[in-house]
Order: sequence, then C-alpha cells, then structure tokens
Amino acid sequence: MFIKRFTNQLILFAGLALSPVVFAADLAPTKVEYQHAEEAGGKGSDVIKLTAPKACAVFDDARIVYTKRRYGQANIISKPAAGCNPSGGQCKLEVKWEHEPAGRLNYQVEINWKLQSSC
Amino acid sequence: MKNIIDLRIPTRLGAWPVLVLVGICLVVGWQITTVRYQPPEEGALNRNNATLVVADPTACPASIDDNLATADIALPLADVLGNCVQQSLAKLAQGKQVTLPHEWRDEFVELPQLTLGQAVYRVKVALSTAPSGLWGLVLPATGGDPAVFVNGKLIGWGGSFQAPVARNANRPLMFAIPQGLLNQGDNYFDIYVVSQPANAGFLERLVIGRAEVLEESYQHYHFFRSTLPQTIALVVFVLSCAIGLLWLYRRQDIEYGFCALGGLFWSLYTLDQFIVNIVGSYRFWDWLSVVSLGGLSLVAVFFVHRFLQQRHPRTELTVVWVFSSVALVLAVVSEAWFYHLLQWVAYPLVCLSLLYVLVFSAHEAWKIRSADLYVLVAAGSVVVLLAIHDLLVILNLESLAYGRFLHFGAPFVLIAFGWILLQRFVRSLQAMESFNAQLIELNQELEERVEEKTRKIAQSYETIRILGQEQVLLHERSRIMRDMHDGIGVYLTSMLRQLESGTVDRDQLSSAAHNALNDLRLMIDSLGSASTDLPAMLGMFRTRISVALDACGVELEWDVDELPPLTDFGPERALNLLRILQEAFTNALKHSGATCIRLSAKSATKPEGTGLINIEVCDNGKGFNLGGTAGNGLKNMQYRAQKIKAGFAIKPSAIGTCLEIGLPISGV
Repeated sequence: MFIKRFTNQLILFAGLALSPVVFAADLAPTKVEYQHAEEAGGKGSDVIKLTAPKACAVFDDARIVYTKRRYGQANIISKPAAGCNPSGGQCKLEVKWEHEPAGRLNYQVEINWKLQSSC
Repeated sequence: MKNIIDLRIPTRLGAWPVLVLVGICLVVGWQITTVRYQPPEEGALNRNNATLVVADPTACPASIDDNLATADIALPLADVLGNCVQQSLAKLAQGKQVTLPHEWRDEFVELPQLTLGQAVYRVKVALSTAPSGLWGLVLPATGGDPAVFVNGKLIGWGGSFQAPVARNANRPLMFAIPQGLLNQGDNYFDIYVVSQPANAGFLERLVIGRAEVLEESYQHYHFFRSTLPQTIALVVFVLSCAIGLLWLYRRQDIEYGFCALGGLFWSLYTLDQFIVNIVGSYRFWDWLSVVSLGGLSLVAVFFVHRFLQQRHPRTELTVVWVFSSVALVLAVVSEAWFYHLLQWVAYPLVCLSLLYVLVFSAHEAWKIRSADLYVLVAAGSVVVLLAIHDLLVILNLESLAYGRFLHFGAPFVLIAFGWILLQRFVRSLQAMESFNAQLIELNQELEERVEEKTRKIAQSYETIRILGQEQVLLHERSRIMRDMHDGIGVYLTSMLRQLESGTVDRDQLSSAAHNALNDLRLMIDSLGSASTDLPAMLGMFRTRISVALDACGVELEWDVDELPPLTDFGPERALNLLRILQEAFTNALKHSGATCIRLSAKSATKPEGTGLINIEVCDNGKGFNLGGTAGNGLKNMQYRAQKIKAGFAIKPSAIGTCLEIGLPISGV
C-alpha cells in the first residue's frame, strides 16, 4: 500500500519536474538572416516584425550572430520588452548596420522565446 | 670521341612519352604567361575605368633632379608633381575615357602629345561611407614611373623622376593611404605616369582596399614579377660561372663554354625585368637588353651545333654577321628607328634563331632517339613559346601590361641541363664502379700470377744454390786432391822410390818424411778456420816454424802489425801463401847461414791507390846471387805467388836476403 502510494507520488513529482524541459525543447530560437555587401560601403537598418513560432510563445530576448563580418557592425537598437506577445502585432525589433567600402556584413538575429504560463 | 657525346645514350622511349613531356612543358609555359595580379575576392575595390589626360609639358618637367635635398633652390617634390597634375587636370574635360589596362602605344595617333611620355589618369571612386583604418592602393604594373595623388594629396611615387626615370613595369607598387584622406562621397585618384620611351607607357589597373587585405595578394604578385626574376638571374649567373670554370678545366668541351656564355647573356637580359633605376640612357639600356638577347640566341645556335657534333660554318657565319650588323645598326640609328627596328627586326630575328635551334635539336633528337636531347627539346620548346609570346607583346598583339616571360624559360633549361648532367654523373659512376670491379679482378689475377712466379723463382734460386754448393764442394775436393798430389804425394813417391831401389839414404828419407809431414800440416792449417784471417794464420805458422828455428839456433824477429781483413782469402790462397813462407824459411835455414830471420807484415798503399799487405821475410845470411840460375824452390814460390795474384820479389843485400810478398787487400 505504502509502496504504491510512494510510486504514484514519485511519478507525479517527476512529471512536474520535467514538464518545463519538455516545453523548452519545443521553443528553439528563431533566426532571421541579413546580408549587406555594398562595394562603396553602406549603412541602414533592418526592422523585424516578430511572429511567434508557437501558440503561447512570447518574446524573451534577441542577439546578433555574425556569419561574415568584414569592416562593419550591426547593433539591435530597439527590441520589445520581454514577454511581448507577437499575436498582438506590436512586437518589432530594429537592427542598425554599417560596413565600410568593400566590406561585408552577414548576420543573423537570433530571437529567443518563452512559453506563457497561463495559456 | 668526346666524353660529352659518349654519354649520350639512345633511349628506347617511343614517341608518346616525348610528346607528353613536351606537351606538359608547353602547358606549364603557357600557364606562366597567364599569371596576373589577383586582387582579393572580397575586401578590395578594383577600378579599371579612368580618364586619361596628356600631361601639360609646361607644368611637368621632363626630368626632376634627384638631389633635392642638397640643391640650392629646392622645391618639394610634392609641389612640383602636384602642380604638374593640377595643371594637366585643368584639361580634364578634354580627357579621354579609357579602360584599364591602357597602353599608350595605341593612342599615339589620337593623342600625339603622349609621345612626350607623360600622362595623368584620373579614377573616381565613390564611397557611401568613409573608410576607417589604414587603406592601401596597389598598382600591379605601370609602364614607367608613377606618382599617386589621392584627393589632391601625394601619397607616393615609384622612384626617380630624373632621366632616365625609374622603371616599374615589372614591379608592383603598393601605397598606404593615410587615414582620413578618403571621404564619404566621391574620391579622386590621380596617377601621373612618366615613361621613357613613351611607347612603353601603360597603366594596368588600380586596386584599393584595406592595407592588410591587399598585402598578401600584392606580395604574391611582387614575388612573381620582381623577386622571381631576380632569383632566376642570380641562379643563372652563378651556374654560368660554375659551368665556365668547368670549361676552363675541360677546354676540349667547347659546349660548356657556350653554355656559360649563353647563361651570362641570359642573366644580363633578365636584369631588365627587375632593375628599377637603370644605368645610362634608357635607349642604351634597351640596346643592351636586346643585344644580350641576341647574344643568347647566337650562342644557342653555336651550342646546339657543337653539342650535336654538327658543323655548319656557313650558317654560323651568317648568323654572326646578321646579329652583329643588327646590333651595330641599332647602336647608330635615331630613336624612332631604333624602336621600330627593335620591334620588326631584332626580336623576330631572335625568335627565328631560337626556333631554328629547337627544330634542329628536335630533328636530331628524333634521329638519335636520345633521352638527353628529348629533355633539351622539351625545355627548348618552352623557351620558344615564351619568346614568341614576348614577340607578340612587342608587336602589340598581346598586352604590354602583363610583362614579358622569356626569362622564365631559364629554369626549364637549367632543369634540363641538371638532368643531363645528373644522368652523365650516374653513368660515369656506374662505369667507374664497373671498371673498379674489373680492376680488382685483374689485380687479384695479377697477384696470383706474381705469387706463382715468385714461387718458381725461389725454387730456381734454391736449385742454383744447391748446384753452387755442389760445385764448390767439387772444386774444393779437386783442389785438395791436387794439393795432396803436388805436395805430400811428391815426397811419398820420392820415399817409395828410395825404398824400392834398395839404396836408402836415411837423411834423405828423413828429410822427405819431414817435408811430407810439414806439407800435411800446412794443408791442415790452410783448411782450418784461420784460413780467412791472415794474422791468425801467420800466428799458427810462427808456432810451427819456431820449433825448427829453435833447433837450428836461429833467432826469429816477429813484426806483424794489425792487418785489415782480406776479401776472398780462402783455403787455397792460404795454403799457397803458407807454402811460399815455408819455402822461404827453409831456404834461409838451409842455405843462408843466417842467425836471425825476421818476418814483418804491414798494410801499405800501392802507387795507383789500391791497398795491399806487404809480407817480408829477411835474413842476415850470406845473401843471394840473383845472376845465377833460379832453383826449383824459387820458381815454385814465384808460381804460387802468381797463382794467388800476389806480388813477389827477392831483394838481396849485403846483410842477407829479403823476400817480399805483396797481397792485394781486395779485387783478387
């Protein structure tokens, strides 16, 4: 009797403990890639309108990952607040970039998501 | 036949391997002619559109003195050049849009003032952003001496602007652009180029970018266009000197001499590929270059004839006359004619003679089927290919901007020669080893023969020695028998006759017995060990004679000095000497009535210089009448003295008789 109750409790707690891991695995970061290679050099900004990869996913954070970078840089100048839900249509992210003549800038904007607890 | 030809062994190679080898060499040679400056794929701006403006001759001096630092009135070079470019660009509106690479020789009809040899290229580079960091500019090749301005500021130049101006046709240049000079918007690159002669002027292109991005590609191209020719010239020069030394040691191999001379011409010609500040006037320098190239092709003709043991004196004479005449004409004609002759006569002739050498050697190689010649033909085909390419460049059928390539043929020829010499060395080594093996075999055989002969000679000597011993024994036996027969035998016969006749005279019989006994003693003494030692022998004689002298009451004076040894004084001579002495003492005792007998022996020297031992036996008796008839005793003494080759004399005197025996010390 005691053993059966203990086993049920063990399964319950283990399920509770593993549930965030299972959900987190489903929410891989989304990546948006940009390439800029102007011979005479260039600068500008890229605006990303966020779309959630899954229902109940909200914006967590974003960062720049360079795949090619020659004499240039890209910076996120504005991003939504953590927890912003893209379904509202208000989550936008802006990246400002610049490279020298004969330069090149290939970068990815890596967006991390998190699941809304009450969805 | 000479060694150089001896080692040229026919090969079993068929046609295909040879054609493949030649094909590979031609492909490699052709690849060399396609080498260009390769700017980085990214990170550099390649510009080949420019506006050409002929420089203003009133503002641009033909020659700018190098000694600005020590001149009394010196203007900054930047000011002089800047003024020139500024004045020239005032006519930018009349400038001509050109595509780089651009060669001046194509423009002389349209732009006759370009023949003065000065021009300005303006290249516009629009930049959307201002570059940061250190930027650079690469000019892969410029026909002459460039000065580079960026947005009106001088950033560098290619060498001396004093005539003859620096030559950078084969020297890629890279200039750093100071930070802040390049702006956002339009930037202007003005390249002022001076070329002497004008027909060699060109601008290949202009590449700008970050200095660190351009550096690697610039270094690669600089190595190919400048460092490699320098290395080739140096290697060819050193090897030519080495081959020249080889020829000095082996004058009979004239091929080596031609090879060394050709190498020297080649290295002299290659100087033009990397020397920036030339010596003398530019025309003299170009004359020297073409003459060295002509010398190279001339020597190649002589070399190939000698190498293949072919005599073509008429061809050689014709080639010498043609090349000498062209060289002479080039030295005296006007500048305009000089470069025309260079283009249409001198270089085609060089190519023709090199082609002749290639065809000639290929024909012979095919006949002889020699591997050495095949390699030489393969290398020669590359040389001819490069020479034809250079001819096309000179005839304006190929671009001047990418340079000439004939000097790159030298490594092929060197490799071919190296291969031939290596083959010869290996063959010589193998032949030497084979000869050594044969020599060792022959030596062993010879040693065996010598050993056998030595053994036989030793056997012969042994046989001769034994025969000699036997002969000596036989001779000695005969002598003893003869002595016994002549000495003791006579006395015994006399005694036997007396006894047989029955009239025995006791005194005579006793005397004969004494004589026989004495003679026997003398013989024994002469056969003893003292027979070779004269003082010892005389000592023994003294012992024997003393008894008789004492019995007769005669005194003996003994005066024997230390005597030298007598050579070849054996038992026979000893016996004869003892018999002479015995006879002398007997005569003195019997007939002289002497009371004293003296024996002296001394060494002396003959008047002619030879040594001898004088033995004198003197008595103080009644003397001796030399006028009388000599008795048997005296005759016997003379005979015995003659037999032992000794001098013999009797010297009678008032106080007795002296008998003298002269024994030669040597040479008896």
